Amino acid sequence: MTEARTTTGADTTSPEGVDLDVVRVELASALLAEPGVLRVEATLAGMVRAWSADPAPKDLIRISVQDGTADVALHLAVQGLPARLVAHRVRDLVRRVLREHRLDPGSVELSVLTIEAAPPVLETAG
Amino acid sequence: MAMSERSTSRLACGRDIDEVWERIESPPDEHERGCPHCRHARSDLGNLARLTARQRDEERSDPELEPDPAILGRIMDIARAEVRRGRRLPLDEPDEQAPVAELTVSEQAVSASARRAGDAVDGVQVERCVVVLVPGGGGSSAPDGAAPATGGVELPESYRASRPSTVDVTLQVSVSTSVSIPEVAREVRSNVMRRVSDEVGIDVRRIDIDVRDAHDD
Repeated sequence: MTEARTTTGADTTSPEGVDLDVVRVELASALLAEPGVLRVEATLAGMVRAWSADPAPKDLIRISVQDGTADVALHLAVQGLPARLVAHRVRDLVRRVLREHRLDPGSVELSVLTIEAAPPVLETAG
Repeated sequence: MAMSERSTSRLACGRDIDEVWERIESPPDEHERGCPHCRHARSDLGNLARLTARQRDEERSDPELEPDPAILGRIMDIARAEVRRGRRLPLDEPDEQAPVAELTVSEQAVSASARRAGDAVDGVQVERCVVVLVPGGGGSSAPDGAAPATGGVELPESYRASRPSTVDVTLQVSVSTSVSIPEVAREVRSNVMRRVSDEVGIDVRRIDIDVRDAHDD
């Protein structure tokens, strides 16, 4: 059994030699481009791990790797699409990004902490 | 295995080193006074206690190790927010094969969605909203099934293959004296059903409306 490794900060390399910081940056960028995703939410545990008043989205994504299998945990604020649909799409996206980095997707714990009201639709004149 | 784990913390005389550590601030007892193993352990542990105490005092007065007030303030904000967010509810109907839900939504997010729907009805002010998960589901009570708007995005296979979870909602409201309570109650129910479906994507089985107060416009 290889060593388990959890990263959200400076410690970045998995036992398999995958740079998890690169994975987290790519993951954060991809999921913020996903329809319905407004932001990555901070939790108490995430804030303590990141130890910053304004952590970057990538620092709020937790990846644990053991025996080549990556477990991911993240928290989101969503808007404009049903939270359930966004959660399923983001889970697929996370698994896809992990596979691209030669990691087997394990559990993807995804919690929608905030649902913002849809912005009002502006009526056009005329 | 259990034996070897225990033996690592037990001295040759049979006393556990944790027990010695717990008493390190007190004078040695009768056994410790006469036991060479305990005397040796007390000596080592005493040094360790003095060193850690000194280190702790140095760190306490070192300005370099003072946490940034902005970080502490933000952490306290997040801690308060976590309390408000309440429990996590599963987004999919719980599956016997996977009893621990991977995809969840905060109770507060669902409650806020229902609250917005109630507040959007003229003459209604929502004072409190309680959301309760319905174990085993039960499906939507909406006449048309209230399929959520999907915005034209592709629906993942896992989304289509699973069923949304189901909740009951209770709203405590204040109603304007100028409106008909049965009419606004119907409108509130319809709004909550549609909004929770569109914003959260889960089913609402039942909506109880508790009119607690009346107010003038």
